[in-house]
Amino acid sequence: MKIYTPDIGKIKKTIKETEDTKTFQIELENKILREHFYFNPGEFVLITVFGVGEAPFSISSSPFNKNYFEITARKTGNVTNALFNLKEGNKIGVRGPHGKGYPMDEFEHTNIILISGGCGLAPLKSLIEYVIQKRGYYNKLTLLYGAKTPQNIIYEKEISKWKKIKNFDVHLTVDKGNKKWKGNLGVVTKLINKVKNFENSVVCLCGPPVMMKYSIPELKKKGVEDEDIFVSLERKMQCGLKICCHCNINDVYVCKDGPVFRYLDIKDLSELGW
Amino acid sequence: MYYVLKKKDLPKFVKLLNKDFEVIAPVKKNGSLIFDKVSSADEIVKNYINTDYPPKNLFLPDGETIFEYKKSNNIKIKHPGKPKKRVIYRIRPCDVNALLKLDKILGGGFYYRTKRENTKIIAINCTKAGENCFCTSLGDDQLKEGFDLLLTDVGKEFYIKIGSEWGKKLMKHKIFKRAENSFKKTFFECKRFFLAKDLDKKIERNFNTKIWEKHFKKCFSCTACSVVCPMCYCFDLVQVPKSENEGKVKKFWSSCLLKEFSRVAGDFIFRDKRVNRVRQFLSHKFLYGKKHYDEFLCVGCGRCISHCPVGIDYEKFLEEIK
Ligand SMILES: Cc1cc2nc3c(=O)[nH]c(=O)nc-3n(C[C@H](O)[C@H](O)[C@H](O)COP(=O)(O)OP(=O)(O)OC[C@H]3O[C@@H](n4cnc5c(N)ncnc54)[C@H](O)[C@@H]3O)c2cc1C
Ligand code: SF4
Ligand code: SF4
Repeated sequence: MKIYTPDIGKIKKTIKETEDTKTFQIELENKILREHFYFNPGEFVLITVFGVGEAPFSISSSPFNKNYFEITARKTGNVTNALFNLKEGNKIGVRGPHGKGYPMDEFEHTNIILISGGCGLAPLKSLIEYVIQKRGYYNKLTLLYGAKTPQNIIYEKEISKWKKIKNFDVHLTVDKGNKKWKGNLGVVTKLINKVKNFENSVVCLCGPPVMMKYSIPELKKKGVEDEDIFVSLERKMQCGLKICCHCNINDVYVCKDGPVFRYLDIKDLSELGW
Repeated sequence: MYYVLKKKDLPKFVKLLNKDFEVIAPVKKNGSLIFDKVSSADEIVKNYINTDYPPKNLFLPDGETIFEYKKSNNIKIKHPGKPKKRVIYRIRPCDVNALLKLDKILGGGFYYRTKRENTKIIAINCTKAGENCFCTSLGDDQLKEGFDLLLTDVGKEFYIKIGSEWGKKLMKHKIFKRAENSFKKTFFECKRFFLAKDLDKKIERNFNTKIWEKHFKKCFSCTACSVVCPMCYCFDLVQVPKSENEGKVKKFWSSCLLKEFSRVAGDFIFRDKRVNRVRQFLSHKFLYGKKHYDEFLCVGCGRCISHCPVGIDYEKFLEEIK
């Protein structure tokens, strides 16, 4: 198998989220591949900008969407800068979906609490859309989301829709507000107190390492068990297939065993770093 | 059944191989003993314990092309063809065992597999151990499989063991005679020895101790040890543009001993300390390899020891770890 060769995808649409973040709607050229693009929320794709490089991105759209999928990328370096400059109609390479996402079956009939910062909302958006589409199977949904400033909030349109959905609590916070901002101020960890009920709940965290580091002790105080906490981890990746060895944390490989992990399974890894 | 080849018939043997195959054998180049193409037997170096570099380059070439792309309205992708038919002559058992272990990890991929399939293996048993060899501790001095022919040097002639149908057919040529008697093989154990059993558990037990600092604080991440290791296969995929609209994607060797190996955007480096990178190198070989592939990803060729500029000796570490 030519496992490092990408399939070709077309950028159908780009949506500017913030100054440095864009969402890309991507349609695979090959009809069969397009129709068999199955994944669980939390899985990722490797996107190639030809002539520049390849990088991993979480899939941010719902798995029920069969015609295209979405990623949301923040400009941070070579590949992401080049991706940012691509236009609708441009072609890119796609490998995947890869990795292990959230165990959506296990989450059925529980309350789901999502904690995220910055671009970490991308894989959780996939989860949220999944839950909305299968609403009867899940209990209460709560989103705690933090951004640096109001201008850094992504998915504004979606968030305002989510706020109107029954049994879906959305709490936003920013580190630094502006004149128009009337919402919460401070780090996302502070929002944990807004959640009244942690019983029969799972908590999914996706964001920078510091966010995980400070959120988890708070959750423990609320009585959430390690086995009910799910974290999404980030490491350098090249192959996405547990071969190139870039992404391991002790004997766990983020590309295949993750990127979504049950906190219980990784909390004792000495190379975790937080 | 064994066959016998007289040493004086070696030139004929190489000629015979050269008819259908590219013959790759140990040769001296720029001061190093390496595997390379030969056209006659007299180019081949015969008096050596092992080559300075393993034949890794033949199966995992550094910088091999994964695909070429051309951009217009569409993107056209072209893959490289299958490699030439080749035979490696005079490869040592440790290096064959390294290939057998790599098969378990890389055998599913097109690039490695086609190179393996197109390469015949004519191995030769060792009659002497080198200063830094420790293959016998790991059992990687022995070959049960993985060869087409296995030669044993018994003085004026070679005894040849057959390992494949192709090898069997080749023995029909008149330069080979059926062996009439059993033959004596040199038996040796390397001077270096450690107990391989439970090495994985020992590494796991010592993962968070000071032992790494003690043994490896001199390491300066030159990566020589991973370059010469027949089992180090970690890589990067790199775009090599030729012009704005065309280029290649190539696979380059990488090494966990490099700081950049774990670097992600924002200059975050997960293994910032050098000793932690050496710990990754050895844990991959002796702990994760065992867990994931039921193999130690080392064959005891000792090249890492011979090539380390600051005298780091992985084998001594394996002897000491409890
Ligand atoms: C599972 C996973 C999901 C991700 N999801 C998203 C997402 O939804 N949105 C988003 O904006 N970013 C995401 N990232 C991070 C994103 O991959 C990096 O921002 C991106 O690789 C940076 O590449 P660059 O070339 O722009 O940066 P450079 O600093 O120029 O990096 C060069 C190369 O290093 C590697 N690299 C650098 N940073 C990372 C990294 N964080 N992870 C893995 N490899 C890296 C890549 O191979 C990249 O090509 C994700 C990372 C992982 C591992
Ligand atoms: S780790 Fe050293 S001894 Fe073991 S196979 Fe690699 S180079 Fe040879
Ligand atoms: S050869 Fe020696 S100095 Fe160089 S990376 Fe290996 S152990 Fe470190």
